[in-house]
Amino acid sequence: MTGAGEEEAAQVKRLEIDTRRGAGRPVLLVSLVVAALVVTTLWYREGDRGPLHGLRVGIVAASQPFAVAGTFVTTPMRSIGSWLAGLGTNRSDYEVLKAQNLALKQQLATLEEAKLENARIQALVDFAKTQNLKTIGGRVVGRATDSRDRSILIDCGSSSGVQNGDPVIAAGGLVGQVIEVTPWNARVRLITDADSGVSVLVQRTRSVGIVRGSIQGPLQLEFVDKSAAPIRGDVLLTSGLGGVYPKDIVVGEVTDVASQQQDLFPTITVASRVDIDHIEEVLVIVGAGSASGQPGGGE
Amino acid sequence: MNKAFPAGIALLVAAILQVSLAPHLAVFGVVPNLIFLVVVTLALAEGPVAGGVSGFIGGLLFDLIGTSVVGPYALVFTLVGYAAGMLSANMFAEGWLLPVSVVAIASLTAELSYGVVLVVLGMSTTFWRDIITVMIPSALYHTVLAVLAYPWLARILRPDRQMRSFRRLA
Repeated sequence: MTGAGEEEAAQVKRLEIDTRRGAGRPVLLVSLVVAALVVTTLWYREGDRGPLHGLRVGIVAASQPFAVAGTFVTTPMRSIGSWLAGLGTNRSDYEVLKAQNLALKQQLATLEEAKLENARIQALVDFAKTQNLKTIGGRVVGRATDSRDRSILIDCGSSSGVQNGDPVIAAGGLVGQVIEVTPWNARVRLITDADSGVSVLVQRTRSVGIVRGSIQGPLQLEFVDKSAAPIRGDVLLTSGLGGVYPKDIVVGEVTDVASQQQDLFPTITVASRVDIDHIEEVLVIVGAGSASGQPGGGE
Repeated sequence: MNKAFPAGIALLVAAILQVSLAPHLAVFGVVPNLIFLVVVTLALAEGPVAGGVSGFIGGLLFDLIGTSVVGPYALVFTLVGYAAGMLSANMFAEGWLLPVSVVAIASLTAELSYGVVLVVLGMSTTFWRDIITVMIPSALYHTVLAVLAYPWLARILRPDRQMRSFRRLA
């Protein structure tokens, strides 16, 4: 009986603790909600040099070693995944010679790709030279922490001369724009970000439009008149309008054009030539970005 | 104070993992929110007050490591953390069903609320499309992660109770 009584008392005590634990404090909740609203308002009202912006810059700087470590640690796992995928392909072949032939063909393709990439990088360097642009090479050390965010962290910052608003390019074309800078690194908003907008012109027709990113991934070309609609394969270049991006940087290629009779503008899908999700090195164009030096949603 | 210390450490570790590991765990562009998982676990373990406070701190951390406006996630996680704490105290579910249900509901609510906040702030014009492409996939991803991570998180964050099995955790 004593044992049963003690157990019952313990149960009652646990229930009391649970009841206390489950009890809410509406005043605290309201205080926290108000605090969150105050923080949001402060973020909008303070300038780029306000305390919250400063705190974010500090956190970006402090988080870089962890981002680098994360990339370093996950690289072998990604490599193992690729190796296993390749192993499965070879096993399904069942013919050694065929597999060797395939491997050689792949090597050849890789070499061809490297050659082409080399040519593209050379073209990029030439482009930077002809435009009299000063560029700084950077390595991608971190990626977006949020599903809605399309940004990367690179390992060069204000100590290298990078500033807010500087355009960022890669071998295949435009990558994005610097939106935050610390002395050692910079955050780049990719052109695939939903908040990004780039003024472009269609190389063949010279018609002007805006390329926007989206959460879904593909780029969209907007505000192009139906009569001047591009066709599949048309190349889009930065127009230079707005002064954010230098003129004639490749933004991408038109992959689809759809238009209904009632639409004012056709729906144009664009693919970047840069493998933005797996990009590892970039070039930051310094000293030729926005006149104001302020990053924005685009042009 | 004793409970605040492990909770604070858990949030800090989650923030570090969010920067270092979470981007590499993205599936079809959906990045898991590890801070959110800790907030909901704290809410389940300690109730609405801990859920609200950890939601505010965790949300603020998540805002600061991101690129968008600072504040909306603090607001959303506060409300969701508090509600998850209330829900856990009043929900009739046993074993693994409780944490999984709460995480699923909380994740979907957080994503929807954040979407609404973005619309109110004039920062999103694709709310309906985001439901399919971001919100529902995120909720599903978090639910799967909760099945894997909740027992371990709860073990660390609620040491005052003997927890030997997943069933007893909830």
